[in-house]
Amino acid sequence: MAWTTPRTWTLGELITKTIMDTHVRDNLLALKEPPSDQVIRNNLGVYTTTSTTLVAVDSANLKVTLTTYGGDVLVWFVGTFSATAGTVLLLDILIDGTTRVGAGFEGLLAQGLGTGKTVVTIPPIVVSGLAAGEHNFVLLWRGTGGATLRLFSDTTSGTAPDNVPAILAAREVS
Amino acid sequence: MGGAMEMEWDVLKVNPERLDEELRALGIGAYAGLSTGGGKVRVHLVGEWTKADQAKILAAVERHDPAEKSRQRQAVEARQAALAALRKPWAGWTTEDKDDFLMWLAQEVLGDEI
Repeated sequence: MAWTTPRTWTLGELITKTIMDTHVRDNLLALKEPPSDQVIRNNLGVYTTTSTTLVAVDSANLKVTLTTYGGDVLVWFVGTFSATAGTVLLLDILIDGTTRVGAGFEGLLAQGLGTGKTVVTIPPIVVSGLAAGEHNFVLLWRGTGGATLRLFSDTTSGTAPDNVPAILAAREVS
Repeated sequence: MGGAMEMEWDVLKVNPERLDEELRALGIGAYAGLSTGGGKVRVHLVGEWTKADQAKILAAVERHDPAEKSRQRQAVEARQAALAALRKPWAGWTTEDKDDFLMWLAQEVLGDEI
């Protein structure tokens, strides 16, 4: 349901059904169901990278898209990773193919990894200043020293710790 | 030519560690690593690269045999085999066994520094 900037009422104004539907009903519905998207990704196999620069994990499938009304957007991620002991994972989120949420930093977060599984979360982060319209959010990753990073996302795996999704989500919140 | 770019292939089966070793061995300075997922292999180039670099990468990807183990994997397996061979009563340990064990232990603690 579309959001309409709430009406500024005038003294003695006759309230009609059309006005009430647009400015009360429709706006309440828009607040109840804000633009939202979530990917619970099954890659049917592990994602890997040896990249030492930030690259998309999967720009086609590990991506969320919202058509916003111009408000702030919350974006977050959770996934299960492993790598050679001593490797550091860096994660970030790319907006509309151009702007990193962690711009100005090497990444949004860094996490040391080992051969065991480690759950890594980008907690909900407020992204402000996006114009009304369609926006997409893509997960970026990189490692250190050319080591192979693994992100598990495989319902075909008979190994339980591999059989988990990678989850990326975004929601307009104002 | 220069800038960040990706070369992409639809490849179902790849050994990422081995292919990464093969691509690094090409000595292309712009090579920043490779990624797999979604049925694709992507090679990442950053900085200055040439058409000749791309051709070398293409040839390496076409030559790649996913069944071939990476050097890193071979080293892990060699270490596991060597340690397995030491699982015997202390009385059966030779001087060489003790030296080998000390070396593996030192590598475990000190990493590649020895």
